[in-house]
Amino acid sequence: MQAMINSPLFGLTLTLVAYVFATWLYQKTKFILFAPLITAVTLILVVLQLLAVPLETYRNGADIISLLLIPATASLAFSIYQQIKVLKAHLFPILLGTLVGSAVSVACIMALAHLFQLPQDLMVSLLPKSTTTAIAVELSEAHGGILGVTMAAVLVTGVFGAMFAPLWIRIFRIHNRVAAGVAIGASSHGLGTAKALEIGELEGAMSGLAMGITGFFTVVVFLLALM
Amino acid sequence: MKPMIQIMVLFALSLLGTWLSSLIPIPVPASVLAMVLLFAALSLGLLRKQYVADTAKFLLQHITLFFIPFGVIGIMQNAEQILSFWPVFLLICLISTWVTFLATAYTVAGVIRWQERRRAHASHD
Repeated sequence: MQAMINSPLFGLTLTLVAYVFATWLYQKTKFILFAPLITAVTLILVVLQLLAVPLETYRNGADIISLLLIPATASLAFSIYQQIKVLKAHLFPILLGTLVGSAVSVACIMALAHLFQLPQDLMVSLLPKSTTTAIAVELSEAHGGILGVTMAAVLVTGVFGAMFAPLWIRIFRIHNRVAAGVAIGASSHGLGTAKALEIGELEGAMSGLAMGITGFFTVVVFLLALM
Repeated sequence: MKPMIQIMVLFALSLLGTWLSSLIPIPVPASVLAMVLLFAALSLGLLRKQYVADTAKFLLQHITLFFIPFGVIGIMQNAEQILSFWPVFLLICLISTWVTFLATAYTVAGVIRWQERRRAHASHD
């Protein structure tokens, strides 16, 4: 048993099993709280606790999966390229929208953190949460944030975005598909983009594009806000 | 051979992105740089679509999977800090995601409408 757990294949397989099961459960039920990420993470946490597996042992295999986030994020360039005509036609609104989105996100979190009197390190951990994990983690660490809080905030934001975006599009009558896609990507990064791809290829591409540009703008806004 | 070539291309670009990220003094993540490189290669005609298409689609379809370890590690490492303020934490996440979504959507839709009106106006003159 111990030999099995110590192999990198353990973390790798456990993550894949959790993902396959969580995806199946979500497709069967379509229940909003069974978002695959929530189910999968919970399942893995339970298994690690039950078998008393240290985090480092799990990471031996899990880090291989995290590594794939780089080529997966890079692949967004492909879906943006597929939509290059729409991008060229709406370059200015997309740029302005993501700039406003990045600034509003940071301003909104600062205001709420002030309202709830959060300490500085927690606020900094939350600030970059609308960007993709890789960017958020680097920004948070560079400015004295707490790594785990940032990761959790990024994930929760992505889950909320993916959960509620279709609802918000309907309630607030976002009829323009480009606007809907850009808004999803700017507010809820890669997890939102996965949902946007489900809504439509145009929405998915715009979301992916917005996510990339938002990452860049957030780096700039972050530096200005903390100055 | 084709899937292997696609995986090779995407991994090589990711590696290049990682290398560039270490060269640049400001924190720009490797994944974003790899994305820029792939977009440039496709737009400039250095790389044809079929050398990445299927694998890129496959990775995008399963992007949730690659976030799972971050979730597990984040929660296990800082569970106490998160639990200490979780209602506020969830509330801030929800409100700011919603506000950001709306601000972005209305800005994009508004600018597109404004451009269309101006274009229509110009064609009338």
